[in-house]
Amino acid sequence: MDRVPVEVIGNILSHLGAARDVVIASATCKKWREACHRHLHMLSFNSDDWPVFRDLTTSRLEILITQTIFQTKGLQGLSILMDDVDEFSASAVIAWLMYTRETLRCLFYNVRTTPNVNILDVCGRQKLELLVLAHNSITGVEPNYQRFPFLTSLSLSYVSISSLDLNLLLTACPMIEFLGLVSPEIAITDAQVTVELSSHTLKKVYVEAISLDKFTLEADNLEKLHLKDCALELFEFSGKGTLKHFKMDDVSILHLDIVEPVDGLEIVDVSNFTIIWSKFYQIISKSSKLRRLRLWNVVFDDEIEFVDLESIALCFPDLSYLALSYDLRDDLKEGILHYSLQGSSPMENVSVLDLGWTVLDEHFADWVACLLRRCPNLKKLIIRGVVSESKTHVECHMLASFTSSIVQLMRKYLHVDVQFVYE
Amino acid sequence: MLFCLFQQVEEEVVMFCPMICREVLQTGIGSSKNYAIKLPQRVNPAVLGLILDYCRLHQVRGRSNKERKTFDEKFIRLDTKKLCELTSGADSLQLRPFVDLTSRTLARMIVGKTPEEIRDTFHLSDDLTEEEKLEPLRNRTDDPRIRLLNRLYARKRRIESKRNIKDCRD
Repeated sequence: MDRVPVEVIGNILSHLGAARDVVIASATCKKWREACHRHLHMLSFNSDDWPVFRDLTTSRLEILITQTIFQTKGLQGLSILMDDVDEFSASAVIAWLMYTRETLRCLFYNVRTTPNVNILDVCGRQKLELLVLAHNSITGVEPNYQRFPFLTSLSLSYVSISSLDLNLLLTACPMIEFLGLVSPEIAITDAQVTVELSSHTLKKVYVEAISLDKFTLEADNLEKLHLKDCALELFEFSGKGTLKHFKMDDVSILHLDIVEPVDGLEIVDVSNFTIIWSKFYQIISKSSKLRRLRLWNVVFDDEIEFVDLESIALCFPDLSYLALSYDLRDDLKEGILHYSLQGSSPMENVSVLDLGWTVLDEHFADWVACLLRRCPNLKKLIIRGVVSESKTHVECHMLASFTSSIVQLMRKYLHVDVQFVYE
Repeated sequence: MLFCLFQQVEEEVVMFCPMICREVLQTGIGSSKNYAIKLPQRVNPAVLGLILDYCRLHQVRGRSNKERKTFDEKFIRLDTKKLCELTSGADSLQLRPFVDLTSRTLARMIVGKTPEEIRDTFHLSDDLTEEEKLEPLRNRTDDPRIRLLNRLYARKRRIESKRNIKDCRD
């Protein structure tokens, strides 16, 4: 231990993260104390780390954080995630940020500040590469003055910002690759709530819990787009065919407008979504390299009421993972089973089938059988089911007969590995 | 095959270390026994052996992430002294992922222990004075920013107390 240089010890102690552990480590010997003071690069104050945090008053907590931060030099990562604290005073927060901003590369902060601190003002034009901000407001962005030349990842949760400022913020980050927005409070400037984002460098976008009249996204290099729990009247996306991964979960979009044809898609994951199948199919059908497709709890708002397996088989020869859920409306059952399984083109490359039900009935096993027939090279079958807490006699009987059918069915496919996931 | 510390080592394995890679490319050392790669002081033969094992597994492209993770988990089951030597050696060779792996392991061994327990585990000398031990959060007043903050806090306290006195009187 004697021959280990103090910088290496500083690096080891930086992996501790939690401020309390760091302080304890600094109380062991002179060398470790020096390591904590001069060579520590990561410090984290998380309300989960130490139960005593919850018992301290806010001002005592502020003093504790200030004293700990001010003992370090050259901090590169600072994380203050205190869920139980209502708000920190602006003077303390400004002190922490100004003390560390020259070397800070990543910042996690989720506590309200009173009065509001413009984090962008304090941290702009420095070395920040990752910013995760929550429960704060961003009032006024000036791209000429506030620039984040190294910021690659920006995540805003429960942040109040105007839509103009959001777009200006993106332009102030010339290297940005990831943008995450969770439940932002978009200030309404006119009657419509619109957000227009454009960036040439964005690679991944994640949007959760947002409700807008219009959302326009212009990103020439976007590779991954993930929308969750959103209600958008109009969603316009324009790119240059770089999109690889498209995921939508519990989203409702009245008008979906994708300007450039997306022909490079590799993963499409849609769940809990009402779509117009023909329009959606038109969008994804040119991606002949699609590897993974998941359509879960999808309601088809069209004359075509079901997933057309034949066109999937023909359009996506490279598909290796297919996930479908069995949801049939009562009035359409028999017909659907027949039509959706029409055609016989095999899906040669599918090695994993992920099939599930929300309401089990006697035809589910047949549907599984038909799909199995179509995948000659299948290696794994996953069956997901929803089992209600109060099981009626009919439900138990249904589950039992399904189990017997599956056992019989899988005797023909001994090489396929079956996994059951019930919730 | 390259020559390194009186041993012959496979080229691809050694080139996995950025520092060695640079030196070999820039100066061409390692080509013969007399012109062997000189390693930093912190890398002794035992440490070198372990580092080479790590490089050997990780530089092979075919291995899956799961395989690498399992290898890593088995690899780090060493005593603290060895781990510290490894961290130090890997740091001098600038093998970042390896340094992070060993540092994380060592950090896990530190979490939850009292200072005495940490000193025992890592054989550290007990060279802090009693006063230093009791006050880990010393108020460093030699930093001008801290002095400014202290003044601001003092001013804030004075204003608060004046306001309190005024309220009491009313």
